[in-house]
This record gives sequence, structure tokens and C-alpha cells, in this order.
Amino acid sequence: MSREEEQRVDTQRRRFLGVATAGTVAGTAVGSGALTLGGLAAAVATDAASAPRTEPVSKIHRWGMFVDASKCADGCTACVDACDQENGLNLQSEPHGSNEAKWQNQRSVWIRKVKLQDRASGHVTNLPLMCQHCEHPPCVDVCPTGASFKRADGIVMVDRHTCIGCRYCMMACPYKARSFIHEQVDQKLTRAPRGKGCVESCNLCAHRLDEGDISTACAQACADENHHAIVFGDLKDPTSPVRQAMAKQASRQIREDLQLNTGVRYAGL
Amino acid sequence: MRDYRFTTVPGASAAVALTALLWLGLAGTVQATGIGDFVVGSSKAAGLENCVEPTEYMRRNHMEVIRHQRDTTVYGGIRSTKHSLSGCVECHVGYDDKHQPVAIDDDDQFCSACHDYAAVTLNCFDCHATVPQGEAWNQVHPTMGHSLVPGVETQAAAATASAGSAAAPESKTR
Repeated sequence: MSREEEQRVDTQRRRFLGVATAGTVAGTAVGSGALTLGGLAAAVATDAASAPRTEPVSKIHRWGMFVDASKCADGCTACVDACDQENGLNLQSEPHGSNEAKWQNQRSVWIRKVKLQDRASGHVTNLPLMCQHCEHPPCVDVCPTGASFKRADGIVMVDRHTCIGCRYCMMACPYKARSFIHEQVDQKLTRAPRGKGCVESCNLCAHRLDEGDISTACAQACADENHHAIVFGDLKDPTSPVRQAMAKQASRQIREDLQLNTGVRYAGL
Repeated sequence: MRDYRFTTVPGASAAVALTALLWLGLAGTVQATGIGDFVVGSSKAAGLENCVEPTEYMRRNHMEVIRHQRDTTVYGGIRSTKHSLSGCVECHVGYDDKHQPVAIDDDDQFCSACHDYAAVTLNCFDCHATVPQGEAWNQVHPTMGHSLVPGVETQAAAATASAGSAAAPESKTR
């Protein structure tokens, strides 16, 4: 992104804030205007080898997802459950003496099922909301230690070795995608380290990708349920399932007014 | 780094002997085969000639090796090299009578035995798994690859050949 563009983004965000205070933000949290895929870089079609990675990740790929909200079933939590299993989120235990409601609000969650209802028509839309893996992530902008970072292949992650738990990133994220680990976690999975005092969020199952397995637990679970609402793949590869799906159907970013060029795109909103 | 154990201080040999005795006492069931006196007998490591690097090197530099690997993994996504912390746990974790893995940072286990003795706090396991559980990648053979120590390539290669199936890569759990 050039310096001029950077400046332009800045002014737009300020204008948006002005609008927001005037109280005219749409309930669905989706800005106006058609989405152009110009932000997604030109196609470089090389498949990741199906073997453990030996070279550092590169810009050749940009991992992302396409979510068709019209296929996302009401009451289905397959993606959330699969994510919990895959990333050890189900191993968190409620601290002694904590009340249930507070715990449910505090426990780490990587995917949230969000239900939107159009006030005028009553039409209900369900969608899974996770880290949107922005090209210009606000969480990275605000991190005082550089712990919040974007991997070369577009995955926005937290380096917990340098995270000090200040939670600025949680404040900055427009998608409420990040969670803070408040208590020591007794059981951990080798693939998903987790400890008190750090922030974490969806990492697009980076451990799978690093092993050459191009899939995420949520997309797989959704397909297993025969809903096929989540498609995962390489946004830079026009032959990838995610690009194929995006070519067929109009999709948009949530809060596209922020111009973050998210890696997760939604249809049916 | 200076090797203080070989300084010619009077009574140094007595101190070394005392240290060795303390180590043996702390480590409990150790296999004193001269390759790793602090290795837990029931661990996979007990059956191997040496660690991913020569034992002496590992004793002094394991923290540097792990720290280097950590950045390679977090930023580069390379998880399969021989210096990964999950590799340490997988190979050095001890097993109880029921063949269940014992947390590697438990009292008298591989990590704590030394760290308690040296009074050095380790916080790897505040976050990382203490037993092999839910690995997501193939661990390469611990003695494979280039050594960090010059001149020990042949040793590592020989160990690979002799260790054979003792340290076969773990199968995927998923």
C-alpha cells in the first residue's frame, strides 16, 4: 500500500467515526458499496506441498475463507465445536468460585455464531464470526510489543512469547475476535499452547497448514454436516476452492468501510 | 562459555562428586550409561546415543536452541525441525507403571530435576503441553539434519543409523 493510500484510509476512518457518533450505523454492521477483489493480489497458482514445511511461509499464498451465511444453519454449532476440539479450547475449565455467566463471557472463543435479524422484515441471518485476518490488521497497529503480527501468508496471529496481555488488540479489533486467557490452563495440546495472561484468536489452523494439510477444522466440520457454508483456501490462487466460490457468488467484507481488506468474506448478508 | 567444573580450585573434584550424587538422588530412576545421567529411564531418550546435538552441547545451550526454534516456528511456520520443544517433550517425557506419560515438569522428571537443582525457573510449560498430546505434525528423527556443533556430523549420522526404529517418528494423532 502506498503512502497516499494510507492517508486516504485514515481520512475515511475519521469520517466514519463522525457518522457513527451521529447514530446512523446500520444494524448489520455492513457498510455500503460493492466489493471489488482488487485488494486480493494477482494470482500465483502454486499448491502447498503436502509435507511438513521446511521453508518459511511466504507471500505466495494468502489464506482466507468464504462464508455463505445463507447456508449457515440456525442452531448448528459444528464449526465452533470442531474449533474447540482442534485448538484445545474445550480443555479450559471454569475457575473455582466463578459464576457461570461470567465464565461463559470470559472463556476463550475463536468462533462466535452471530445471529442477525432485520428489524423491518424479521429475516434472520446466521453466520460464524472469527478473526477476519485483515490485510491491514488494527490489532497489529496497536500492539505495543509486536506480539500481534501478520504472518507472511496473511494469517494474523499472536506471538505469545512477547505478548504482555495488555489487551489493546482486543479493544482495537472491530470483530471482537480475540480472547484473553485469565487463568492457568491445566491441560494443553502440543499443537495449541495456551497460558495465563496472553491474548489469542483464530489462526486459521496454522498447524494444519504448516504440515501441508490445506484445511481448517471449522470448514471441515461444516462440510461434514453437509452445510458447506465455510470454504477455506488460498485467496491468491484463482483455482482454489475459496476463489472458485467467490467467483460464483457476490461476497463482501464485514465492516468493509474500515478498508481492512479482510481475508474472510461473506455472502448472503 | 567457561566450563567451571574443570577449574583447578582446591576441592573441586569433591564438589563434582557431590554434585553427581545429588543429581542421581534427584533424578530417581536414571540410566547411568554415561550418555545422559539425568535422562529419565522410562523415556524414549534413554534408549538413544545422544540428544539432537551432542549431550555436552545440549546441557549448556538447550535454551538457545529452543528459543531459536520458537521464532522459526511462530513466524516461519516451520514446526518439523529437530529442535522443536514438542520434540524435547516427546523424547524426554517419562512413563509411569501404567505406561501413562508423566508431566515433564513434574518433580524429579527431566526438566525439573535439573532446573530445581540449579534454581532456574522455567516457564515453557505455563503454556506448552507437558506430555505428548495432540501433536499436529510429524516429528523428524531427533538425530537427523545438520548439527550445530562443527565436526559432529558423522556422530549424528551414526546415531541415526544405530538408533534405528527406537525413535521412529510418531504417527499423527489426527
